[in-house]
Amino acid sequence: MSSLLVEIEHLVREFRTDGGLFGKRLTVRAVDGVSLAIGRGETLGLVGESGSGKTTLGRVILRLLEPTTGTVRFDGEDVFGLDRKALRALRRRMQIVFQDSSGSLNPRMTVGNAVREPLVVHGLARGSEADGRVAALFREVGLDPGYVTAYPHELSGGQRQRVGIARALSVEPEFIVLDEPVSALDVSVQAQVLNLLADLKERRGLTYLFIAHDLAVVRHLADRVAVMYLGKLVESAAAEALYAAPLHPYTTSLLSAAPAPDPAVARQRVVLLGDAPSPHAPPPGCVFHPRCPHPLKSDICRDELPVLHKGEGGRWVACHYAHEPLPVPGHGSTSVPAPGD
Amino acid sequence: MNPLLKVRDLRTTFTIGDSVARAVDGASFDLFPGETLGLVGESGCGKTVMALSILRLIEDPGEIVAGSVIEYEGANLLELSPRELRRIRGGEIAMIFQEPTTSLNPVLTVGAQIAETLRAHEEISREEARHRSVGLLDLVGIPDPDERASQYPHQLSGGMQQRVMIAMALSCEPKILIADEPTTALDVTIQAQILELLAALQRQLGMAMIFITHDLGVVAGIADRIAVMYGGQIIEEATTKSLFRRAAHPYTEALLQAAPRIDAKADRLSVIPGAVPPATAWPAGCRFHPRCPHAWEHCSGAVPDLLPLPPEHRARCWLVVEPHRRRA
Amino acid sequence: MSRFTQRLLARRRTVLGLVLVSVLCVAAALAPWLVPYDPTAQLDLAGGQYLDPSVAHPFGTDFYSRDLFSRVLYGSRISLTVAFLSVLLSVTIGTAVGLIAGLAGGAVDTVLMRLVDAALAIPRVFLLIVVLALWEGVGLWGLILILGLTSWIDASRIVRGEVLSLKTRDFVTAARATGIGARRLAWSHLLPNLAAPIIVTATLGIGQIILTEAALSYLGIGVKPPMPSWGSIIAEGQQTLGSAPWVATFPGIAIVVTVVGFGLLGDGLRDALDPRTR
Repeated sequence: MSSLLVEIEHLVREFRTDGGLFGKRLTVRAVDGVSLAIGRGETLGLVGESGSGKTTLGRVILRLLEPTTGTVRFDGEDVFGLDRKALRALRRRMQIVFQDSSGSLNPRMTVGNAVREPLVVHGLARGSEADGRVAALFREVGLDPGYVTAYPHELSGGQRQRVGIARALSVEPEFIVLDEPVSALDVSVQAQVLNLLADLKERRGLTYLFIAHDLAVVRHLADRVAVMYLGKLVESAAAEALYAAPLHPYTTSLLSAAPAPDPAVARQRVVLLGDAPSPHAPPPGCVFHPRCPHPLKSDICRDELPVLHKGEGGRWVACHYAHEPLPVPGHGSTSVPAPGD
Repeated sequence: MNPLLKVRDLRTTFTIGDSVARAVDGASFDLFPGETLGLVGESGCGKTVMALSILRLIEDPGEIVAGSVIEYEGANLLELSPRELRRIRGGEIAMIFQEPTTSLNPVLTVGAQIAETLRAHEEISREEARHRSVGLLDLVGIPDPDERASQYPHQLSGGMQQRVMIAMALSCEPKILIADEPTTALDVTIQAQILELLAALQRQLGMAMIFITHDLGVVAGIADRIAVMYGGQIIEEATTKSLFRRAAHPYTEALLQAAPRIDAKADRLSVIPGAVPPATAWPAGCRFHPRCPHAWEHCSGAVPDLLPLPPEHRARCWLVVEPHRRRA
Repeated sequence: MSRFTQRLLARRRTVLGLVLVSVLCVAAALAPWLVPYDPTAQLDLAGGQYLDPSVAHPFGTDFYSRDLFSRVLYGSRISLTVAFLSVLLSVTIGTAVGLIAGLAGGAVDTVLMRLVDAALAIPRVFLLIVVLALWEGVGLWGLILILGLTSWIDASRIVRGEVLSLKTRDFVTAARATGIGARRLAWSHLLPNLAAPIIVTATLGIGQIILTEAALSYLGIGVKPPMPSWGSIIAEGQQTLGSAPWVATFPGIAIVVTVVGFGLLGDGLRDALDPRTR
């Protein structure tokens, strides 16, 4: 049994926008040739801002969106080559939890039924046995089983998120894509859900793909981190290594831009120039170069697309100047002041 | 120094049928010229309602309860006539919001919207207004301002739209800018840009700012003083340095410990048990006591005032007078 | 009182619509017991024709000395029955078509929508007239069938639009991620969320069908005499508009009241059920 659970190779997903009455039909490459692997039992953090393609990637892996080209192998099986029946069976093994925008739960279905449905669909349990399993799942995610008859709008954001997690767990998957699961939650609720996710992973031996834009959150949960920009993978490394010494200038600016609750940390941000470019017309060469603050930036950045190459310690980075990375200003491990200090 | 803005005992309620939601229930604070006050809290604490109350933007079924005082440069805003109030809004106290896409009129060009604000407060010609709009767009760091002024909001990115909002807010050089979660909806790198911009503009114009957010990290970088809200009240107030060095209120402490840190990895995030109570049914006594690890009988009976913790700190907590009750 | 009921009763117009519709439905249901006279009975051919409205005959009498109030009351029963059943049929067909088109997408959607466009090209009223005129012994059931079969287009477009928008919602993606098939998706997830627009379309459709049926009966090809239908009563009262205006007027008022009632109720339901206006 391979230690790699998910293998993604040269995945591309294009979207064609509707030209409208007079406009042209434009093609956007939301995911542009991404190759990545996720090991069994690992949590891979996938980080990027809006337009990076991280959400699209998550959905294509699960085949909730069809790819344009590329392959995804789950435990050795080619996900895109499966027929309907085999795909259905595969759906038991990989699941997804969404960002709660109260859109991920059917507003007309009780949350109990929402968690129950996968059990019935896959023939895992019926009738009172299913009820029992639903109650157990609720308890496992920290919800009072009395809530099974509630509708989504009667629950708080944190509770809805737990329902989403329970639903994903109902089929006993091995792999879960967590698509910004805590972004819409308050800090205190976020902490509860993150702890829950960590506990579940340990107890059930799960593998996670944790998609987020909040670097602090990802750091807390991820073993490895991959950074995406405009559809491309720009860096990936073990979490500690990435946070301590990022190699790609985009990662550096992301890290320096992330606010830390400590005024003592001298915040000289590496501020990016300009706005995120339009995904319709990505810049030539390195997609990041127009905004790149690297002092050594040169013509090669504009002319040649940097290839993702392997660095030391299993790190990957796509930058012409990765050998001379930007330092993160004022960055270093600061000890969290203990209360009463 | 006299405060620019003095809020005393502000109460704002929303009445639906029989139930009354006390969104803001006795909040008091001062704002001094040129300073940035960070107003921090999670959802349901009343911070946005408080901001809207200052500019009297609260509509039915909400109302600002009599007895509240909002004094700007000595004049009580709650007693002003509609005409005087309109002069203040935008002219002296301006506000920017979280979602620039919904705060900007989609059918007017951005230049026209800024010009409109200008002409509402000053007697100037159209050309003059346009000229100044372009100047303002340049001030907020929008490249090619002349071209951009003729564009519509949907043609601009989120970060640009927020800059336009800032330009509109600053057009009449207000003395106070209220920013309600202005960067929450933006990407982290854009957020950094906007925060830098706000700080620079503030220095340049000598403006005071109330920065509302739920993100302690953001406020650590931008605020001089911080007020933490919970349950419709301000429960802690201190200088930024003082607050982060040692938070006095258990809620603030808990918030700080619950937030995952970018510069350190905690094994397990500490959690605040329970949930925020609804504004229709605040707990008796200290609003936080049902969730507080240090609470004792006294806490459920009497509501603490904002008790002073010299030199620069105040907290609405009985631990201030009985610190030995703090559990290890 | 549930939030829905609260929202429904919030506006006076909606309450008016609700009251009108309720009164009509009750009147139609209890008509056989409420009518003072047999609607088809010719009471007194000698001296009872075209009597003015009075206490004995609140709406007067017609050419055949039949009590007009009883006829109009009974007519409500017939008109509402035809309307309810036709709308039931048309909404069922429309929902099915819209659901399949919206869910399947691609070629199926295109074909179905082109069919809809083709159907729209045929003027409905003329089609109805031709079919009903040709098909003699159509009876009430035939009428319901034909009306239902020609009115499903609106519902299908509305449903298809809603389905397309629902498909983009995360909970549908989540359901697909669970591995459920199209049938279960349509039944458990889409239909419950379509209930609101369907109910609104149906309610507004009732008003429309009543007008159509009245027009057809007026022309003599809808509900046939001696069964009283508002449309046919109006036709009967046409010639005597000057001398005995009540014959044509009262059924006319009945039609207006009914259509307005259902219209107000339909609008009110739409507002109360629309999650966006919460």
